[in-house]
Amino acid sequence: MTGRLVSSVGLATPVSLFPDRTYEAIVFDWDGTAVTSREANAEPVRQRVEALCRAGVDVVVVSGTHLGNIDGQLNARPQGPGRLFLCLNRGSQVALVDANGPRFVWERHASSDEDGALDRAATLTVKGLRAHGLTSKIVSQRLNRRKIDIIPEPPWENPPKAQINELLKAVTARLSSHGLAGLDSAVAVAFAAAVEAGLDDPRITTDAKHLEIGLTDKSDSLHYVLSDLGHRGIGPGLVLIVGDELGSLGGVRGSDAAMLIAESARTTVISVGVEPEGVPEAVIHLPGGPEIFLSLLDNQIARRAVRRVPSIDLDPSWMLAWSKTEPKLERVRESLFTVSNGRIGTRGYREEDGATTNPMVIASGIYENRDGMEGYLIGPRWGDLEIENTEDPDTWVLDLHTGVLMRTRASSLDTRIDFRSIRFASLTHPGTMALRAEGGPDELRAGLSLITPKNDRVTHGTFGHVYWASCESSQGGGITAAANTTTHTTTTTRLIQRIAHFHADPQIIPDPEIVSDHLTNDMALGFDSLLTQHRQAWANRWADAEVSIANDPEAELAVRFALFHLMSNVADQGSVGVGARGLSGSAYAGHVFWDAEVFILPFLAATHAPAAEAMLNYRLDRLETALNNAATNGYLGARFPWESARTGEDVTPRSARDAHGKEVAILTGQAEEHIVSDIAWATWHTAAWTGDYDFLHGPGRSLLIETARYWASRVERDGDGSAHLRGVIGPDEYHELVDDNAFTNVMAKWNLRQAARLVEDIIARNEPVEVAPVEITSWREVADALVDGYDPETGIYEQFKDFASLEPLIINELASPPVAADILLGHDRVAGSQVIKQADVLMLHHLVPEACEPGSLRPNLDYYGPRTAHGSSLSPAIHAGLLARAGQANEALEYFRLACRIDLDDLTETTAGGLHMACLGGIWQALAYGFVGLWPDPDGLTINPHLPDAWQNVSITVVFRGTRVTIKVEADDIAITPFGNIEIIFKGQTAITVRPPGMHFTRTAKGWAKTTS
Amino acid sequence: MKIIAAIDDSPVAQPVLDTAIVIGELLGLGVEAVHVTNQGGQSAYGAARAAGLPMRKLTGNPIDALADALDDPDVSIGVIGARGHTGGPHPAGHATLAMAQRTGTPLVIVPPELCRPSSQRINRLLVPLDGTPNTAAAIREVVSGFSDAGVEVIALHVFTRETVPRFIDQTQHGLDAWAEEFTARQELGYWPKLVTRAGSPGQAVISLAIAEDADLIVIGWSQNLSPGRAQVVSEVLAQTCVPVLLVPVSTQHVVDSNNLSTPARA
Repeated sequence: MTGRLVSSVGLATPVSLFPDRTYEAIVFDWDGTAVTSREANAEPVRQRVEALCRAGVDVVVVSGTHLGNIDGQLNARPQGPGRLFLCLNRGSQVALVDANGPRFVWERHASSDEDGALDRAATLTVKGLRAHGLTSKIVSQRLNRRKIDIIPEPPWENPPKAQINELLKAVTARLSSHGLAGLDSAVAVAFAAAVEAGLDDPRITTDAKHLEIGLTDKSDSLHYVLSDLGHRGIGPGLVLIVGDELGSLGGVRGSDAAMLIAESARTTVISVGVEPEGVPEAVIHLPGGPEIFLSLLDNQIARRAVRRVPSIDLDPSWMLAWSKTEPKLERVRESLFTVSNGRIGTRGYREEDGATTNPMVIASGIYENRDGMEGYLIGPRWGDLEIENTEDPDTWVLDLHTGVLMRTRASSLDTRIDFRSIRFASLTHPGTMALRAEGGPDELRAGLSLITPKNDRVTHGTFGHVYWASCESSQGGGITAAANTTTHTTTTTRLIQRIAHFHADPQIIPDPEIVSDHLTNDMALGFDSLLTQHRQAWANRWADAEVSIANDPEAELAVRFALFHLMSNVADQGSVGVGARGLSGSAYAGHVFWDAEVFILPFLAATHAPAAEAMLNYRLDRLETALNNAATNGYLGARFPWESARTGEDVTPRSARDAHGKEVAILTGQAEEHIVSDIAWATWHTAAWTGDYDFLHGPGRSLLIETARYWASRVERDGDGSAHLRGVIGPDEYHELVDDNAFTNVMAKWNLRQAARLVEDIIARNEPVEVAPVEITSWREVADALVDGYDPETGIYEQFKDFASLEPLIINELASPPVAADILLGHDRVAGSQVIKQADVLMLHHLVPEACEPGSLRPNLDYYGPRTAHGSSLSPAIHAGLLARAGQANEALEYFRLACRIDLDDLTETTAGGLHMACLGGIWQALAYGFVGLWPDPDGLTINPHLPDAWQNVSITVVFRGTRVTIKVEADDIAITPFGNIEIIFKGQTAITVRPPGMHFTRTAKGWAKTTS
Repeated sequence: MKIIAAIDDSPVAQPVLDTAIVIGELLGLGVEAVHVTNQGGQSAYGAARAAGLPMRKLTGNPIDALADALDDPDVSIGVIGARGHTGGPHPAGHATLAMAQRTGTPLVIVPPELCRPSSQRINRLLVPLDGTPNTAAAIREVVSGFSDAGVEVIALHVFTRETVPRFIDQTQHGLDAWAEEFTARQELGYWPKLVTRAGSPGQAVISLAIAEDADLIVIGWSQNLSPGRAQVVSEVLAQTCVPVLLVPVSTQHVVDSNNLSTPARA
């Protein structure tokens, strides 16, 4: 109980004594902390509380007393946007106060049994004390508690808090004279009485004069408050707790110490009380009572008024931190720390110029022709500042929970103040970006609000205090940004705030005036409100997608990193093509591959359906082009391109230099046709998760019907009636122009059959459909005739015709995977061998397990595993998921860890060019579809977990057909917590309806059995 | 700052002098011929005089004398013949290799059979990069001097079993992305064209020098020719017909074209 004694100071407290943080919520005890007594004038508190609420801060009063006492004394009527909570009756009630006054939003209702037990406990306590010869008195019967006066003597009838030392001495002396060692002995009497009275979890508190026996205490208030704040993206690190009784009193924990619950670990806790026995280690002691408390509030109000840089909650399980100083890794950091909102991506570049940086702002779907190829148009930069270079190292933290990037540079010189900045891409206002920075006036200047690429298609200008710039694409369209920068300079500090607004349009250059108008709206809303809404929106997204992995914090953080970028790189409205590197870099020219539908989309389908449907809209909007493409090649239906950008035409380069410097033809554009059924699969899979059959039966059906038509016309028929797809490339691109690639063929079969089934469903609903029955029949006939290379004797699918006759190289004997085997061995050697780049046949087991021969997963894993070089970043996660499904969870974990580190450790040496979005999507699939064994089946959500030994449990939240559900899996136990009724299927068992609040299941010899609700 | 051209009485003296002059003109450095002699030296003197260069005679043990001259702080680059006689590819001679291992000054080794006229301007440099920071740091300044003088720089990285990338997702994009970042990480201060090869680094250097019509090969090296070390240098010196500039990785030699002495060749 030593704590930190800072100083005994009054109103003139130097602000340097206060924590250098801006808090989003301030929680404080009332009597003794905010006011000296119940009779004190609380007007100064009211003024500050309302000012804090006006500034957007949530204020929480925690008190043992009732509403009338607190509201009557405080009488605050805040107008928002910050909220005022009154947590009353020692944890039993919560009231929300606004301009219209207070209203209760939560209350702990005691049962009649509990009320009876409280009465008995109070009586037994008085009796117990009397057994020691001590007179005490039950003085009130408050909500959920009973209060006993243990010093009912006139001099101590209503002692002020300032006399706590004297009171404590008097009480201790009184107790001692009756054989009780001290307050703790009296508390022990009360506790024993409460247990005897039948209370399961009695809460005994004391303010020295009274003993209180209750059902709740201030810990319940904190549980409520921190939970509420957490749902708004306000973590404990952004919360300030102030009390006056945080240390012990007469050996008994002070009443405010109940606010120090486990969840409040990162809060800042200050005691302004006398604290005769000191304060706990983590508590800051500023013994000045209500006076210093008011100074503390003034300090927070002042920080907001001058626009100090807000803080973030430094929760290690949610923060990606970086303090590496190697310049060569700076571009890697820029990719990892990209902040996006699905529309605009800003790499995590440092604000000032640097030779080793690659600062960049990218807009989704905006391309230009450059160097003979369609690639991302680079937009105006909005995050540049002029910062004096120092040798002091930077620390970067990306708060994955709220999408806020913070940079700090602690100065090594006393004469220089620390530099700090935060930035975010608003999730609620998709065109809006915001930044704040602070530093010494000599070291920090605002510079230009927008920095444009150097080319002749840039225009810029001003509207009053708004600076705008447009970057025009050579294809038409472009990116327009408007930005406003404000600076506040004191003798010691310069504070800079910048808000920028972006519009991007592939057809026309957005009008700067319109963009500026939007910026004006943003500015009217203000940085703080934008940040509050942004945090709330992120908290909402995570609520539907949360993942935790017990006792493996590294894997847990890696998964959260992956999910953060999957969420932030995909918008949830309109038509969204997701490039291979998302919005985090310009590598791969922003081209859209199968990565989008097969790797990225499933996570979104399972957690945020609008984003998945926006991705499908991208293909729907380019269906016409795909139809034309098929027709041009003499086929029916839709032939989607291997690489797609603005128009949906194939933009795959036709040639490239290989690693040997040889000009080689790139054949994927003409032959990697499985993209056609990949898109159909994504459409079906999305509906399987969302249950949105309006989309599937409506606009989405074209993506199944036209792709089926393509395959029906694309196949070649042999004299024996068999159907073939010749001259294709499967996912294993080491082998080009092969015949009857199993993946392509089986996916085509699946595509044809699912389209037939879909059309029949539509007909059954008496809805019009543009497919004749004879065409449905032909699709099924073609599907049946398509060869798939499956050998029933071995259980193995031959990857393509004559694969088995290739040189049987085992990659492990040549090099240690992952390895780019085509570079190691050369194109021709690899093409002539059985070394494969990535999962090919096994992708069937991953995507369409129901279309694979039963029992074929393990033999194909055994056969293709040793032949797989994993030379693609897409490969390790898929193998992890499949190995887990096959029951080889420990081996799966090795691949999972590899996938998790691909970007975080820059294993490709190309993360500088952008994140490997497909790998990030694969990480979620490995966890969800592999380890937890989720699958959206027609009759319900299937669960079939296989956890590695190293994991104690995994918890994952998804949204299945509109119902959020959290599934917590342990080796032999599953807890399912749905927010509505949900059908669950344990593999091999019939579906069971799980209703809120949920059910537990235990593994038995016959499968999973329900244990409790 | 100057270049020293170490010549003897052999026919190699002329290409050595030519190479030194060409480099001196490019980098704005003076050139001085040196000759170690205890007797004779008329041919060397004649060659220097014909080239318009002053010649300093050194005496004593040739290796010691030349090494001392090269390590003079005023000397930026040395130029020396691979060996004293011509006629087909030959490994560099003992004295040349000993000099190369000893001096801390970048040293151009002129092969006995050049595949281009020795007096031809240097238009293109071939710079093998193994990806290590030491190599990049060693050659950074000297190559920067050539780049500033308008010489095209072609960087070469050769993938070996040990250095082959783990992942290349799509050849048509992945190699470009890899190459861009690899080049950036060398922190050369300029942006060379990067060519990749796989297999034997030595052979890749030799063949690419011909294919790309390189006029000079610049290699950062550890100055250690013990068995198993500097295999690329040994292989290249033995087989190339292009002058090779060896830059010790430990040297901090700076070629500063903005701080020039007057070229000795008036």
